[in-house]
Amino acid sequence: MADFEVADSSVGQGNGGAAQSSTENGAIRFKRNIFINTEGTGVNTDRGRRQEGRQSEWVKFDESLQAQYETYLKNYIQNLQVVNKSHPELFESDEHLHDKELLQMLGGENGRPDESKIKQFLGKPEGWIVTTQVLEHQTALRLFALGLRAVGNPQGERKTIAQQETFHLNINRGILNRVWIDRIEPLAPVGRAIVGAVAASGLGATIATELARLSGSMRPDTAAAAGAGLALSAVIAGSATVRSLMRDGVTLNLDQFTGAFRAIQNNPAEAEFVKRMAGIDVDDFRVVGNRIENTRGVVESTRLEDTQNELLQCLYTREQFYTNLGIPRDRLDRLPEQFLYQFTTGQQEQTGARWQQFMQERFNPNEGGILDRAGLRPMDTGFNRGRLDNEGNITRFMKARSETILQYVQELTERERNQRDLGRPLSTVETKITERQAGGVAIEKRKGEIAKRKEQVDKDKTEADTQKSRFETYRNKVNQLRDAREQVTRELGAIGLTRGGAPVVIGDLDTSIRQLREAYIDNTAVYMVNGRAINAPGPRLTAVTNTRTAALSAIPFQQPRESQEAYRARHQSAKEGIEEQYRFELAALNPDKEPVDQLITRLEQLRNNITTLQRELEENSEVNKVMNDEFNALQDSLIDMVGWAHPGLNEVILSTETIDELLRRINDAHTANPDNGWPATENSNPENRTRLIHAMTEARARSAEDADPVRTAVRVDDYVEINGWGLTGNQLATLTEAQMNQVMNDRHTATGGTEGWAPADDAANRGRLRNAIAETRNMIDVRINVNTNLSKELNTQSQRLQRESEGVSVETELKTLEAGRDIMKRQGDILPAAKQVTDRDTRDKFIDTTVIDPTDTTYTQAEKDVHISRGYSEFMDLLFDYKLRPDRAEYFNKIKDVLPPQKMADLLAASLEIHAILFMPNLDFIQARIRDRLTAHALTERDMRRAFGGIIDRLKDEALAI
Amino acid sequence: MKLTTKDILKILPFEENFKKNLLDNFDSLDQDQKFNIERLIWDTYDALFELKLEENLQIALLAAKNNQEKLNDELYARVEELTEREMQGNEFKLSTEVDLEQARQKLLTLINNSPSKNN
Repeated sequence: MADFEVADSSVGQGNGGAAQSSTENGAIRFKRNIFINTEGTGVNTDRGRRQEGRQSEWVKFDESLQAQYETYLKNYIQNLQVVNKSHPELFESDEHLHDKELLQMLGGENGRPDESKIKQFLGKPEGWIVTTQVLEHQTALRLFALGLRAVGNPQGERKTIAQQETFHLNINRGILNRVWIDRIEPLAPVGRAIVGAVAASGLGATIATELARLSGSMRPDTAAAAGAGLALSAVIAGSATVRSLMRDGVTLNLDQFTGAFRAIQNNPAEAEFVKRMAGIDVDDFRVVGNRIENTRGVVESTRLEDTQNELLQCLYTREQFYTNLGIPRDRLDRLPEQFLYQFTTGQQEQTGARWQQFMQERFNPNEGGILDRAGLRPMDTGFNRGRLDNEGNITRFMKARSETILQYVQELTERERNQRDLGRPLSTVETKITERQAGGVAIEKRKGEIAKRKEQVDKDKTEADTQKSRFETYRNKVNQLRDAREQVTRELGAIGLTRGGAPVVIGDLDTSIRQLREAYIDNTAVYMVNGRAINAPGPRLTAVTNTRTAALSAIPFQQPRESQEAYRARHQSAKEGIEEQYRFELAALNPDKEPVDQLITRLEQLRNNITTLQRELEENSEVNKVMNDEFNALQDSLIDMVGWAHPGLNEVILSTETIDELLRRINDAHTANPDNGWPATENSNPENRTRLIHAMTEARARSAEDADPVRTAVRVDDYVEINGWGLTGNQLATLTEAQMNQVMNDRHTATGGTEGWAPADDAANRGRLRNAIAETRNMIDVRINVNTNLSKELNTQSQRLQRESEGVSVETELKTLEAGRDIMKRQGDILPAAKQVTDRDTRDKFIDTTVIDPTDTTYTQAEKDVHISRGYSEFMDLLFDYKLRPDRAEYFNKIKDVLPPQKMADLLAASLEIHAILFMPNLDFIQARIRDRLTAHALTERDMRRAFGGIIDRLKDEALAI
Repeated sequence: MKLTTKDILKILPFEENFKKNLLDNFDSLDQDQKFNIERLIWDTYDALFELKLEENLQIALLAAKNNQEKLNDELYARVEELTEREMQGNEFKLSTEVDLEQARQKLLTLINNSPSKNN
């Protein structure tokens, strides 16, 4: 039996499973150090000595435990298959990717577990490790979904919590009996012997007492209601450990645990998973204060009793496994999670198991570890062990375990796949070809991967567009305000108002409106608007109106002998005459009145528009706040990332590298210092993506600003100075020049002349002001441009992925796969044919560097189109035998893409050790060196065989890597 | 003469029964086995050839020293041709042994590891 070494950097092993295990009297045995790490655990494993005695370098799992594991795993996979059929989406969540892998690995056809695969799986140490972790994970999930925690009592050296809140369980005597019988019966006659032993030792009476107590305190309809305390005897059997536990009076206390319940309840995917897998519906319960109550009066969850039954079995099986590993009981908790809520030293159980180490690396410190509700760690000052963040701690711990299981399963799958593929290269490549030709699983998988990447790229683009829109909204408003002011200036300038032939000075908008109103009413002079005389329409309108009113009042009343009808007719006639005269006189007024009316209305509209825009751009307005927040976020993100002081992350790199490359560097920064960056698992976190895009935008914007000579030479100093004198960026963008000048004048007065400038209209000061204004606009424009470009880049990337998804990559893959298959199949002809390259009679054609003549009819157009040498064509024919194929041209197009002349040159150069000092050797160069060596008898058939073998291996590896 | 993989297998100095079994089964090997075995056979042949060539070169140089062989630029080609003839004539009188047992064990493993046994 060969020794087996565990690679330090990997959760799995570097060997196949064959040498790892053996059987002995039905027990399977493995090297102990595959499971246990001796360092830092206090558990010596290799010939170490503890109180239990000398530890063997082997661990054995007897037939009983093998049967329990097989049954558990089979049932588990069966349940996964059932859930997968109705709720496949559950297996896409991060928490259950390991379940998805397990399903693919162990699920058989027709919706049944593949029992032979399960047996094979448990023939490997990873099978035991993964199954144990799944068992622990599922036990914890079920317990927590029921709002429970398990605490063994006593706990050996590990102390129990001071105050236990016990929980009333809905377990009746019948169920407990079944628990007992289920465990005993399969183990007969050994199990029955144990029962006998238990009874003989008096323990039977103890159990009977427990059962009686349980049945007496049972309240079937209110199973989940908080109530009287109840300690369940750990009803377990089947080994010396069991008898030992029972003899020691070990009991299992199940307590209410709201934190754990919330961890499940607040994770919809996990809650749904537990509901489907275990029939536990968290909606059956609710947290009231520190207690969990049944919300429905009766428990709707299916087979709650059976679930509790299974939990006990799981806890027992787990303990058996660790006992077989030689872990002392005083190093073991009921569940690995126990240390989270039974906080004593903040340490996990000290099993020394390698998977525990991997979980620890994930849980603490990178994933936060144990935190109190204030987010403090145990080593932090002020950490409050009485107020732990139970929900968060449990969520993180279970995530760490889920990731660990996934890593074990994936590494095992990958290793087995590689071993299988390497041993069966042709079959593997042919399978890959078939999958792709049939549009099968491989294509769908590949498309799914591409779709996922595209989705992320599209999200990044949306983020870049959103950032851009925040600046654009602001810039658009500023531009609208500027346009409105320019419009006013243009229109006021075009009015051409004169009074008595002299121009009337049009000032600002308000003054202009006032002046026009004066022209309307002033009858002391003749006004002209745009060349048209305005003859005081206001007073004349008043006169006409007064005349009408007076005339109407002057119509004589009804005369004494005048009939009513005659009066009405006369009054109507007189009124109509007055109104007609009134309309006539109004019409005569219109040429003077309407132009002024229209101008006033227009100017009032412009004034309202400007007022609205100014309000929208005030310092505390929403649009300004959004823009300012965006500015600050850009700068903060950049400062943060540069502040991590990671050599791979500086402003230049952030301005030039791609998102993927930057993410890799951020992950590196996190590895170097967990306080910085984030792990790869958090790369798709939207907040992290936003931070990165912010930092990239700001870095690119600064780079563009630094490269702007006008900015650096002219604008930026004035901006910095004037901004420092109190003109904010928003004021520089929105105030009129006169208003800004006033601010500077006020500043000058307020500071005694040290800041701002005097009221004198100094052209140089106005020049500085305009520089500052231009710089303000430029800052916004640059960031909009950066976001626009980033968005375009991402859009291009998205389109490329779209094209890739639509089949481009599959075509390329097929070329690589088919070329790999063909060259492997021809190996038996290629290796002997190496002699052709060295034989005097045949070698010349291989070293012929003449480019194929376009008129040469012995070549197809496809060969002539790519301007290859005759020698390359001969090498390709030796390798692929393409010239006699009926599809010669089409086939050549495929293989020349997989093995183009330069790639052939590189491979030959590597095998034959041909080097060029100043340039990369091309195929002509290689052919010339081959000729030289042949002439000097320095190249043998064996050399060429090795070279061809190298080409075959390269194309094989490339095909297998797909 | 163009040698095939089976030709090479015939002239390799494996134990006769083993060689016969391998030759008898060669054509019925699956494509993966054949691919792996071909390479191993040729590698073994080339390694043996190099050893034999080295030995013959030493003999030729010794002969040249004693004026029994012409020391010119055709010497290497002559010795290589001689070696080739000897190899094809099963004249394996090597002073340095190639680990043929290791090659034989590897061949056995490749033959026994059929896909059905791997699955």
